[in-house]
Amino acid sequence: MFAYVVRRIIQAFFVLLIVMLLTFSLPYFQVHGIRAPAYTVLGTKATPYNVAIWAKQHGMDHSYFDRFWTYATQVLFHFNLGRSYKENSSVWGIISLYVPRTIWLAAVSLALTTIIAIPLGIYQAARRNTVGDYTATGVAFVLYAMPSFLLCMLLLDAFSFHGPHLPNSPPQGVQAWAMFTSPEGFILPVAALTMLSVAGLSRYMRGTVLEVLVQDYVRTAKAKGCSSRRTLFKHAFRNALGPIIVLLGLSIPALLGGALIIESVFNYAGLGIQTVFAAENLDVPTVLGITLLVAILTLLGNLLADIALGLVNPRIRIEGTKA
Amino acid sequence: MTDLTERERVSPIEPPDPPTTLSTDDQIVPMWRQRLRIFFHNKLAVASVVFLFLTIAACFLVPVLHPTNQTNQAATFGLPWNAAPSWHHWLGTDSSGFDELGRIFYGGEYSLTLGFVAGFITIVVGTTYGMISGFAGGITDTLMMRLIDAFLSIPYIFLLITLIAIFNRSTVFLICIIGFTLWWGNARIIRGDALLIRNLEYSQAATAMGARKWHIIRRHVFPNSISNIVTVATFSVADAILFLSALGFLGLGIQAPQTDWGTMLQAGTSQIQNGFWWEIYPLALVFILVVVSINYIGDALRDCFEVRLLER
Amino acid sequence: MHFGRKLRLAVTVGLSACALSLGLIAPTVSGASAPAASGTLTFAEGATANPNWIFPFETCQYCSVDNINQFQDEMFRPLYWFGLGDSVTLVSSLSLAKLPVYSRGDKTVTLSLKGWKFASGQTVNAQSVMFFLNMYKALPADFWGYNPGYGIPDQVSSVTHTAMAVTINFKTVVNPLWITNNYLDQITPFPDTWDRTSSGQKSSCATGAYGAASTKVACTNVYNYLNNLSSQTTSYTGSLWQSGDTGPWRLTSFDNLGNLTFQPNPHYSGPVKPTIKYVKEVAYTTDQAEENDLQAGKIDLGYVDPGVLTAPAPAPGKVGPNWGNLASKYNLATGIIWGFNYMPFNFSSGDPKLELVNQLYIRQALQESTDQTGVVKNVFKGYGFPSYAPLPAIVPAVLSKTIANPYPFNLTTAEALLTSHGWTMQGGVMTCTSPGTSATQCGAGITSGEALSFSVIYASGTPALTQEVTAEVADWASIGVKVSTATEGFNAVIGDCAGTTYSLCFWGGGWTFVPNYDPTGETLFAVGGGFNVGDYNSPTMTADIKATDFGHSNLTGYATYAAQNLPVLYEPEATPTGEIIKTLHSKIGFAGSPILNFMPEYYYW
Repeated sequence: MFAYVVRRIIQAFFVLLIVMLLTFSLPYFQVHGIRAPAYTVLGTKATPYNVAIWAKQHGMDHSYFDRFWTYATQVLFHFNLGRSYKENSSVWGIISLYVPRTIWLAAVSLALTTIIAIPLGIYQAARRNTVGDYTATGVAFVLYAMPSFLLCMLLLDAFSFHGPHLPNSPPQGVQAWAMFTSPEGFILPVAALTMLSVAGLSRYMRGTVLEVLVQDYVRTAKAKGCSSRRTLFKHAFRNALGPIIVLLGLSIPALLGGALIIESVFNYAGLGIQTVFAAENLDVPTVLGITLLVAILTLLGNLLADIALGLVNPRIRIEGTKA
Repeated sequence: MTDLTERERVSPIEPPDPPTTLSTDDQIVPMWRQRLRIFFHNKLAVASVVFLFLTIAACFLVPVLHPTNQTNQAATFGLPWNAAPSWHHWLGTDSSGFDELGRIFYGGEYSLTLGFVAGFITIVVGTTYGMISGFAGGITDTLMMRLIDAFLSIPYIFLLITLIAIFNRSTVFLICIIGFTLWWGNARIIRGDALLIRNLEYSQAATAMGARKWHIIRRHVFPNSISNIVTVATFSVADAILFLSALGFLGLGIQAPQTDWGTMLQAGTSQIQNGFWWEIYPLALVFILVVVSINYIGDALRDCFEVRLLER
Repeated sequence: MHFGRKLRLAVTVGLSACALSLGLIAPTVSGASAPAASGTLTFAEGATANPNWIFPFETCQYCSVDNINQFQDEMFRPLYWFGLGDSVTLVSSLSLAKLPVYSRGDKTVTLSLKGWKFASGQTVNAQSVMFFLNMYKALPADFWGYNPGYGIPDQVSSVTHTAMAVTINFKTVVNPLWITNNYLDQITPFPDTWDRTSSGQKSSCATGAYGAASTKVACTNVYNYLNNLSSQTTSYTGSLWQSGDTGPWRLTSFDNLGNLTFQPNPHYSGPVKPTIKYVKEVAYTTDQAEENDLQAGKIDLGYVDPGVLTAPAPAPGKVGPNWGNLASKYNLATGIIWGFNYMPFNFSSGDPKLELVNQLYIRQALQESTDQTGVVKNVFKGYGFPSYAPLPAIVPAVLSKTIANPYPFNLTTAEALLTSHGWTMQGGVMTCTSPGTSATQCGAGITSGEALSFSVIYASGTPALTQEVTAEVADWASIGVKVSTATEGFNAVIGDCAGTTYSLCFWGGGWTFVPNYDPTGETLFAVGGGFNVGDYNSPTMTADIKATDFGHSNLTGYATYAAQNLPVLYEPEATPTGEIIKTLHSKIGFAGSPILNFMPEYYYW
């Protein structure tokens, strides 16, 4: 187990290097070359002199490999992600400002998703091909198919501008944990994000439980005379938990990316908006820093999911997962 | 998705309840007919196919048979914008003054083309990559899979926007980046298949008998993972259409004066508060139905390719 | 001096009237209903356009409306204040100095300070003006207002001062209007408390001799210290920045998202003391989110996308019925903008169609087939003006006569212009069939069989801009000019305008003469001008511009030539559509600010 974790961490490190290389290289392929960031940062009022100074300050006059090496060492050995081209902040400042906000939103939604999706999946699998099953599948499919901005606008229209008049956005200028001090502002954004991820997961959830239900050991348990409820929860639930954990671990990038639309509609400045803004402004250090961070979170999520899997389901020999 | 889920996904399933209609057949029927039969047994899937076919036909035929002005913005000057449905405009006009009904078909042409082409690219690239990785095994496999890990850990939408910010966007470019960035998940699934099948007795037997690797891929691995390939392909089409719509929301959809459903939906949502229902709900309905029916078809295909549901 | 940022890409929806949202007050407020109990005024910042720089000596990386007009100006008043209500003229009563006195045949200007106070208690004296001038002289390229070869500091020969007056001597005769409006108004007096190189180390940037090498070193060090401090937003509400307050407001809270609060500056020595207790500026991720907050009634001053308005404006500059969902709580407001809108032609050698762009008759054909009034009426819902010259839509006679539109919209004459120059329509595209340089031939460098085609790059993500460009492209196509379009984000387009392979580029916001209130053209069209993005090069134009800057000509000659010679393709200018809550009152009679002032000290509940 320990050796396995170590190996995974080493592999994850190399994956990170690949991510770094990929993201770092992308701007070099852009049609207007690397001078584009200088102009988008300084405006066209920038004289060639200003651009030259800027380029020198940001190491643009060095070769590609030099610059990657500088960046990699700076990140890996000094944990320094650099300074944003566009914002008046270091990249770490941007991350520490926006990441907690997005993480809280994502974490609460993830928790709600788990609470809703797992029982729903079990219910659907146990009562498969009933009206309830069909309805749940239908609703999930529709939610999945609905563009998220449309869902957000419909929610706003129904619950904020009309109906119960819930707040249309979280309170402004508050700390990341405001979700717990003034929760009513977060009802709609959290609901929207949860609905989206339940819809995304439910495609797998029912199938996963179903697959477990027809496994031999479950049938054996039934044959032994276990009550169906007991079978469902003791055996099916435990075994279905594995793939679900993995799925949840894997959904981190999707959650952070999916929060983008939520953030823009509900005026909750977070990682998604900030990344899009940085990308559009060719703010390379910010895009790089955030991508690396999300990659680390995802890899961590995967690793934890696998370890959790081993704990939940000792039948699976983790060592055997090697390709 | 880790290696574990892939195995679970393809682990043997007992058929839940074999459709009873099949058991009335006594003589052996060819596999493809059995599959068709299973597929057509699924009423929802059949309805989805019919709906999808009609929509595609309408999107490609209506703009030709009954052309409406959808590109000449100057020609809409002086005509009513946001007009309510009337005899002349069955679904009114949109916030740019174009005929809404005609625009649904016109935009569908782009959304559907892009969805299907991108889905196709996805599956070709994903399958090839997955097959090679799964079959090669060893260090090649590890390297190829870690590369996939790297791709998968970058939030997809961020990557897309970065790419669009860096390169200019054209329709071909949008198809390519959606196609070439959506295949990673598929590659993992296919690779899981390849891995599993490679280790099955018959392909090991084939290897023992001296069959070449390529032969094994072609004759054993590929046919046996066709179920996953087809299923994944349909879902990819739906995902590509959804991603395009998200790009439309961000103002990065198909280049004007062409349009796509996402861009139209985005324009429509800004008119929700004005009560211009015709600019949003009809299109939303079509859009959702198309994505849902593609998903239903995918589900049905998964069922009918499930070998254990077949009768020998 | 801004390229208009109102159409900056805001990730998403809507005409981002963000930069223009401020200072727009409803023209009438009926009956003034119950006074609000709250002493807080909430103001919507533009989407993703939030203040992030406090030091009022910055490069154009931070020279945005949200940093200067909505933020720094509230605290650090410039030497000369322009604009009150809907005016754009110098407001003597709000300025830190008496009106400038020109002498020596307009080669010298004397600025006499009034003796107002910084919040630190220091009098705003000659030394605090010298502080700014010394820093400008030392680091001209680090200030956004710098124009190489023009005005301050490049045309300054010497500066002397007494205790309360600064005398600036110029190398040449200058146009007083130009210097006052475009340079003196950019001077922000700095307090002595800022003259330091660390929190305890005093320096001599304020006291040093103008232009001396030691002053340059001192100022560079002070600049580095203040610049570094300004890059740490936690310092913004600290005593160092607050000690420099000359304006009516003091910053009391600021977060990195761009939300901030002003409270009245108790040491403000000007005539208009604030009555509102708190002014809150709120940051937005998207215009959609701002619109949602308006509907929820959360903000007092906001803006709305004209695209959602169901009824058009009755006439340009006049306000129409408000959006139905807001009409009960808010008044709609509009005004003119002290600017114009345009697409620069690319005259640089990188333009693959340079030979086409170089022909005036081709530019003229494009301009004549640009339906500006149609765009204003249909796309902007009447909230906009056509532009025919590089001047604001309405200018006082002292600046320039009204420039008549030399090239009115007419597709027939536009097409005839092409056919009379040796072009023939072939398969829907004009093709040169008579190459040569005579008056009836295509022109220099154009080959036989060459198609009349261009590429345009414009900013993506704004429906109104997309509609505008696609409508124009359709009209151009109808006279046989094939124009292909590409889009990029707002900032990337600005970057692309500078000498890339596109023949035209359009960021959508045009140019706003703020805070260079005299709409001269040295920045836009002079050779080497800071924002001459198309590399336009015309000796006539440069001479016309110099006559307005270094002579006493008004702008009529320059503007007429610019209107006729088409260095840029003129485009209609959208005017802002602000929303003002009905319970708010103003002492300056509710009128829109064309120069984007935000003056909450005039508001009361």
